[in-house]
Amino acid sequence: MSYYGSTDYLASPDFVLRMKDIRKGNLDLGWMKAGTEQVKINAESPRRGLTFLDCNRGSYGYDALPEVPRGPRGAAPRGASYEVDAQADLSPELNRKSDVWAYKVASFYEEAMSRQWDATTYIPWADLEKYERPEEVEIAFAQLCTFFTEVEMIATDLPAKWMWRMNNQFHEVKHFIASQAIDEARHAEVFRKRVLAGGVGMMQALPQAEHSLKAILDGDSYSEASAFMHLLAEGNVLTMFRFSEYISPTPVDKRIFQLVMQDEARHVSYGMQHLKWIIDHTPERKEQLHIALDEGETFSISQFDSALFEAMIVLAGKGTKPAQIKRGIEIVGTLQVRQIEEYFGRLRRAGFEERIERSKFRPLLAMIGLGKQDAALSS
Amino acid sequence: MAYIAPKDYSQDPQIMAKVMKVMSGELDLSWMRVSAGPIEARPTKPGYGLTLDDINQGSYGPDRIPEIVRHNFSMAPRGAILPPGLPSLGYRLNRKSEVWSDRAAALFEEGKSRRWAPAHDVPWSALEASGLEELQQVAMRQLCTGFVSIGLVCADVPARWVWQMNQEFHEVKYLLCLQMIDATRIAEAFRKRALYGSGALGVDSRELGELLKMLFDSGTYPCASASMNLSLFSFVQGLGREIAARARNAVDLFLGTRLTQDATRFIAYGIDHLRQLMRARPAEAESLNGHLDAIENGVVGWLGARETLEPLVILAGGLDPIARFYARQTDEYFERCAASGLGDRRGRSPIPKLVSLIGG
Repeated sequence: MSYYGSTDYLASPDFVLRMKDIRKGNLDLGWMKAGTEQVKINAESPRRGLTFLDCNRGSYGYDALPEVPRGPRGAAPRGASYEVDAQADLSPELNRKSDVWAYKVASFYEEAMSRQWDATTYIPWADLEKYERPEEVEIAFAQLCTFFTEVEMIATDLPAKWMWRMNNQFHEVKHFIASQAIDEARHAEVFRKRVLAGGVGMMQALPQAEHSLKAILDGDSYSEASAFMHLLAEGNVLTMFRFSEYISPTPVDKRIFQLVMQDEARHVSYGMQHLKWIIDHTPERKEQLHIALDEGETFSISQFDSALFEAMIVLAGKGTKPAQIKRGIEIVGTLQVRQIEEYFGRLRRAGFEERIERSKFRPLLAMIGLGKQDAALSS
Repeated sequence: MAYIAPKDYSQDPQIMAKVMKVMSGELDLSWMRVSAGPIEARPTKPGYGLTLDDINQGSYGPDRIPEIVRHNFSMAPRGAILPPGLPSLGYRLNRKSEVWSDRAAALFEEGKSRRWAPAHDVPWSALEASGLEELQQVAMRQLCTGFVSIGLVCADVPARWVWQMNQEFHEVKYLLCLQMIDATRIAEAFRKRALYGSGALGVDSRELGELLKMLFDSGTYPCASASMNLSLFSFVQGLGREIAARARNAVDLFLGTRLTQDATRFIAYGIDHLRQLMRARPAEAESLNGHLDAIENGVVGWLGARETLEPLVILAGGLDPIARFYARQTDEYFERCAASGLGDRRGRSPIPKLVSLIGG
């Protein structure tokens, strides 16, 4: 089931003749008459360097990219000269700009490249033993980090599943996805390292969370999967990262969350800006996204009964004594509301405010007695 | 939606009851009594940080991964407790030897520590005085156009496979994510190199496109790995060295050096992956060699394409240096094939015939 090309070169008289010609010094130089556009490109900001924003010129730029770039289906870079009939067809499946595009995607990529960090050396791992960590707090933190290790790789696997199906004309998006893949691999790495440096070891995987991950991976289209993953799931995780920084047992752990947050915020922003692009350019796809988010929200609600929920309560209360549990519940209750509030805020910013009325989270909030906050959200 | 929840949890009284129970202070906490086994990993080499090798101990390390993974098809981290009810995420690469390299962890660590950003790490302003004549500038831009295509497709190849790999092989998955960004950076850096100043991209090479499609459409992951990591990147690495050696400005020196450095990681993984595959399943050698027979035909097309060979000739000032470069690189490539356990490929490969045609 492999592709082996259309030409046996050494059996091709044309090819052999070409080699002999070049050997004699006869160069064709046809490629010098590419006829491609010549552009003036420089780094507008020396501090920022030469970015894709600087390269957004003429036929090379993304502003000139139409909704459907007809013709290119191979490896030719955008703006290069190519022959439609001669190109090796990579059979891309995502060929509409609105399938993948997001406002600011070039900026997101450049930011990702300038903010790469290393889980091995950026975290003061050796300092961990300097801080006293009550056993039950460390166990709860190990459970939290086991969960993060478990879920972070979905944000490499899902974009990777779609990236190679995208037309190479959308290279800024593909580049961003590659940056997200390495970001998330690093997140899985840093949380795994934290679990295994803590003394407790790995805790349990969470079946309910796994069902959500499966639903993300099996999304019917890239945009539906992106809405579920970037906007809803990573949005929830971003709020959890902020919360986890707040309740981190040690400064080492705070550092971890500060670093992962900046990456996660970028991924959520991409999701929001992709959704906004769809709504602005192909509003007829709204219902499809509603259906995906109906299901995504349902899966998210199913996670409320996991060990994770209790681990966060123990961490927030800093122990398992009744007063600590009471305090933990108050804080985690606030987190739950905050997660939904921030999700609704992102929907509004993406121009998808109508989703809020339909959200599965509204009855949930009412049922767990948080109707007051819910009412505030609507305003 | 392809995967639907078995019920609408927002309307599920059982979930609500559980939530209310916890919110009223009645916690179960049974999860606190079950750990997969204590471990307190610490950096073993001061100054190196906490590496993957440092944490790969006991059941958390890769040594106990069986050749065929049958116990976990979820995203549960290796070594975690696996409660009942974990779904299958449908992984299709579940044999360790299909993907594994003992060097994956170290290569991942190296890649992270040698990261660079084309936007601000490349001294772009050095191109104001590139030291190249107009003809050479156009030739360089044509070469860059090819590298952009290579970068684009070589980011897609690992992307095509990584999501199908079992999570037990997370070191390899991390490395493939690194390959995605390394290849992306090749595309980005050479695109910017071609366009900087009063620049332009050149012509898409049909032959290069054909080769890249062969890698992209390889039928198995070992075939894709052999074609991309071993075959293609052996020559990409050589081209990086050539660009660095012939550089007349700081930008081309930088790009050539970094291209060589990054390509070396692809090759190192490819060799070790294939070597371990050959040890575990020597019968695979013939199918891989058969695949490489066809891939090397693609390499011949690429190296002999006017869009590849003629710019190299112009930049080197003649064909002879390029003929020597091709010959040297081909020798290195065959040594790597042998080191991978594929045996001596010289007799069956079409590349030496191309080298003779060019070398006269």
